[in-house]
Amino acid sequence: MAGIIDSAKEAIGKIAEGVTDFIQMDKSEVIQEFKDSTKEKANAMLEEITNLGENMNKAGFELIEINTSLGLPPTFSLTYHFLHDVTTEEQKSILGENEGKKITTIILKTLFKSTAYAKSLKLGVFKLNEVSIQLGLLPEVGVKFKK
Amino acid sequence: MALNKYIRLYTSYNVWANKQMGEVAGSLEDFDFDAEVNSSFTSIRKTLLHIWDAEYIWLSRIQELQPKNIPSKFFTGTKDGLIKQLLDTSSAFDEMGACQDILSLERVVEFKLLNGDSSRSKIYEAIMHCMNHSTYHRGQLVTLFRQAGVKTIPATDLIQFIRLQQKSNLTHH
Repeated sequence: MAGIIDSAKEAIGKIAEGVTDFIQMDKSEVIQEFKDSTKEKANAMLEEITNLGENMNKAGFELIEINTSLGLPPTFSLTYHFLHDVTTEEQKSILGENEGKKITTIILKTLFKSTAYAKSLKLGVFKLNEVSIQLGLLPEVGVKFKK
Repeated sequence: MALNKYIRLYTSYNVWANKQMGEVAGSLEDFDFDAEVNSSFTSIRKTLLHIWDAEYIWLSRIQELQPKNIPSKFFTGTKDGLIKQLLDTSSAFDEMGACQDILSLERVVEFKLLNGDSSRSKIYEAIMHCMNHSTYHRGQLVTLFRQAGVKTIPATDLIQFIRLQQKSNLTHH
């Protein structure tokens, strides 16, 4: 019993550290993108996000939910369902294909880091299921595991 | 001065003043940073975490987001990590301040208090409250720094910031 509790504590510790890293990761880059976003710029970003369909599937994810907040500047909360793993080479190639697309690159890098992070955790039957990414002045990442 | 300009002055002042405090806090030994003290919060770390909590929570409310990762609940990192993340949040708060115009500042946001009760505030009220809150706790930090033996503590009065801005404007023109 003590062993299970210790493993759980260790996993929770790793999650906390991992989440902190994610939050830190591209934070200033995300804030730069959002800080002076006009309605037009926000719409263009949303269009870029929603047009990613095929690229996302190649990257092993599917966009399943979008929430937007009405704050100034706006915030987008995106939920991605994990489909399958991709190799490091494939990740590099996908990032290369999307070079210059700032929001797309931020999302892809975050998803790839989420996958690597999920793999580093030993949660038994629980597998990576969803990654939620909040883009705006308060960038945040959440990783959900399911049996 | 128009309300949005006044608010921006306050949010940019907050970044500057937190940076000054961050520099002093960063120069402390870890022992002094975490030493138990007799104040509203029982260490310099906890006082900084409280300032960060408030700025994070109020920025979330103004952005109409549910605050999910309340710093004092999840942050277990280093002194430098804490200072950096507090300053990141203060800068984000300032960017939010920069986006506001006279009309948007009058907008009412609805949110849940930490005890679960519903509440509402105009955006300018929320910003003023939060910036005033940070100033209050920076005052406590100054006392705690002195107790930790720090001899030189930079002045963080609003007028000091205004004078610096005026000087910088003169230099640039």
